[in-house]
Amino acid sequence: MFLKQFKLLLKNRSMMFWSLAFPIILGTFFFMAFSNLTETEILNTFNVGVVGDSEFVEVLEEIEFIDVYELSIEKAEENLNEGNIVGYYLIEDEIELFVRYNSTSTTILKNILDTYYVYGSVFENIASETGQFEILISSNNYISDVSTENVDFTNIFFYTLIGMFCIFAGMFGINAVTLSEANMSIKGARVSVSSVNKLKYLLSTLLVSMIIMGIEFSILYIYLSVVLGIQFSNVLQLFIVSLLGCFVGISLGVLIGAVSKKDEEGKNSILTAVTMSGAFLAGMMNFQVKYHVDNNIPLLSKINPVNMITDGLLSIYYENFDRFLSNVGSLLIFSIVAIFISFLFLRRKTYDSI
Amino acid sequence: MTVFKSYLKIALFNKVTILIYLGIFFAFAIFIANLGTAETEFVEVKPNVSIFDNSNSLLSSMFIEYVEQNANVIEIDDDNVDDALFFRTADYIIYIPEDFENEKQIDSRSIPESFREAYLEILINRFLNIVDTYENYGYTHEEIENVIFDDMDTEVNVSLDVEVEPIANKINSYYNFSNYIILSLNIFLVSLIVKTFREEPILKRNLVSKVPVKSMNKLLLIGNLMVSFTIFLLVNILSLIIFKGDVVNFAGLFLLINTFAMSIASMMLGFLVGNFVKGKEARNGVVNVVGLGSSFISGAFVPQAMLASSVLLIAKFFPSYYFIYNNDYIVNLNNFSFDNVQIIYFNVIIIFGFALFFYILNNLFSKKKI
Repeated sequence: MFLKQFKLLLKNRSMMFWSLAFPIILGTFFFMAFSNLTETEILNTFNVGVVGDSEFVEVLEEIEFIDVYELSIEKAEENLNEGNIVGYYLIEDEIELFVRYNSTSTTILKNILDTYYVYGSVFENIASETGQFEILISSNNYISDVSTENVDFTNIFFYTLIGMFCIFAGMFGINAVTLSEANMSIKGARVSVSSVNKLKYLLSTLLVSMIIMGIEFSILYIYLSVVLGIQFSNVLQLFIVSLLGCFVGISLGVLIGAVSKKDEEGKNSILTAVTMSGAFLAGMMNFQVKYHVDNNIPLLSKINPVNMITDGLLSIYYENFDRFLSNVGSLLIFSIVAIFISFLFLRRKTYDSI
Repeated sequence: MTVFKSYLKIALFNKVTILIYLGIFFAFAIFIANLGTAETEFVEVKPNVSIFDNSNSLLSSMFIEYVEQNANVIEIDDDNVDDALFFRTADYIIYIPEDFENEKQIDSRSIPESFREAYLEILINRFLNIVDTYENYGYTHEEIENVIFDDMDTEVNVSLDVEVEPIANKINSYYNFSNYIILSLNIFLVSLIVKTFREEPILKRNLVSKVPVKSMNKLLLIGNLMVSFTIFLLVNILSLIIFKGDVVNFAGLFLLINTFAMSIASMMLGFLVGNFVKGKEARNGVVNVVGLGSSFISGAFVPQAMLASSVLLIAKFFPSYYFIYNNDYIVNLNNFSFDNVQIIYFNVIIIFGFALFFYILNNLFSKKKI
């Protein structure tokens, strides 16, 4: 029976294709879309114009991440409008800064000017207090950076992708229920009147589904890590969360299959809708959505299976073992509850006539 | 009338899916509406900083006061630091060690090599260097406290040349996100309906009826136009509710035209999917791949300016690219002169071109079949 089921599922090509090809295609899209994303916050050298001359220009030229151009006022105006320079300093009696928008780089420009004036003020203070005019202003670095590298937020998109992949496994769950329930498919009716134990039949289908999902996940993992080069720190933990996630997906599918009275297509639509909204809340379309949901509506992120998987994978990335365990726990609880409810719906069904 | 009735019936059969798509859209719209507003004059970008003070000295309290003047100091739990940095809730974490008063050294965590890291390093080093300078000339911390905040209080002149409409960004994100909903819902619903009419028993039944194939396709088309028009209305009515007067202007009018073109193109694409794609799972897959995929690479979620040029090159094969390009262009346009709006029309024409292209493909296909 086990082998028959295996062959049967493998022959269902559209299901095979969509459960595996879809995440791979989407992952490729993600990879293309996000390859450039973190670069915008990375500090690149930017251009600044200077109109006029004073010792301030020398201060500017010492700063390594800005390129200084001495320009006429017309040229500076023109370059600013065309976006060639982030801003320009107009040096007259006072120094004035001209920019076009508010951003971190323009704020840095303002602060350089600030610092120039502040040091001037410090200089005057000390000079008037001590009578010295050879004052050396310290220029040390007082910061020791203890940053960890795990701040690449583009990872979250691939984590939600895996989350989505796992919950889409629900397709198999729905399929299994459809095939074993007499009122849902002809095959189900045939199985019901045969001597096969229905529970055994359902379980073997689910087991086969689980094995197939395991193989599919391995393929997905190889694609993501080898071809696209996404980093997953701990492979063992990754597989624990993901396979458990697939199990949750299948249980959710069984639940939908058992509770909903629609045909298989209708049930699959429900599954898609649940998965997509789960993925949205877990940060697939905008990663900050996850943070806001986690902090403002924690209950929602606790019951969202896509988020459990995403968060589990994130905890591996952070190397936060407690958080990993709590996500594994919620995944387990979710699947147990789902299976229990489905069991209540599926047990002891008999029909006089269909 | 019979046609429309059956339309509604098929659509309502999938109400859960429709409601969830709309739910995602509403959730996003509310998310957008609640984002903070930007100002129209020069303001310093204030990074979010979290401080853990283990020193509790005069110097550390001075230092914290200084940081508070230049950044938003936010409170986070010690075990939330990972999340806060990852999700960019905090840009910088400062750990003040116990012997800060003597060493003046701090530990920091940040997003490596970012603009904000550079900015905070300038800020922090400036303060500590000034303190160090004063110490070198014999000042005590108490004496430094008396002068340092006066030193910092400089009035620097900064002029912002162009006023940026704060609401524009929100409207922009809203309409860009609408690309996903317009595409997905249209493809989902239209392909479903077309598919239903193309199923063998129904197709055969329709073929033997006296309605000619061409006019049947026309009927289908009109019905689908209704569907896509409803989605179009929904997007724009919601926009009117959220942004009120801010979309009742030239920009709003052009956004309206733009979404209309996009709805038609998506509907035609849905028509095509319904005709071409056989299995039901396959159709679901296409909705997701085309809906999510082209939204991602065309800049519906991530702004086009941040996408790699190679990605945008691929995106140009999808109508979404032109739709989003137009959205970005329209909300940033201050002067709707004849010359300036040319490019909007041009893109709208391209989007309609896509619609026409899909329509022709459709007709070729359905003729062959019969």
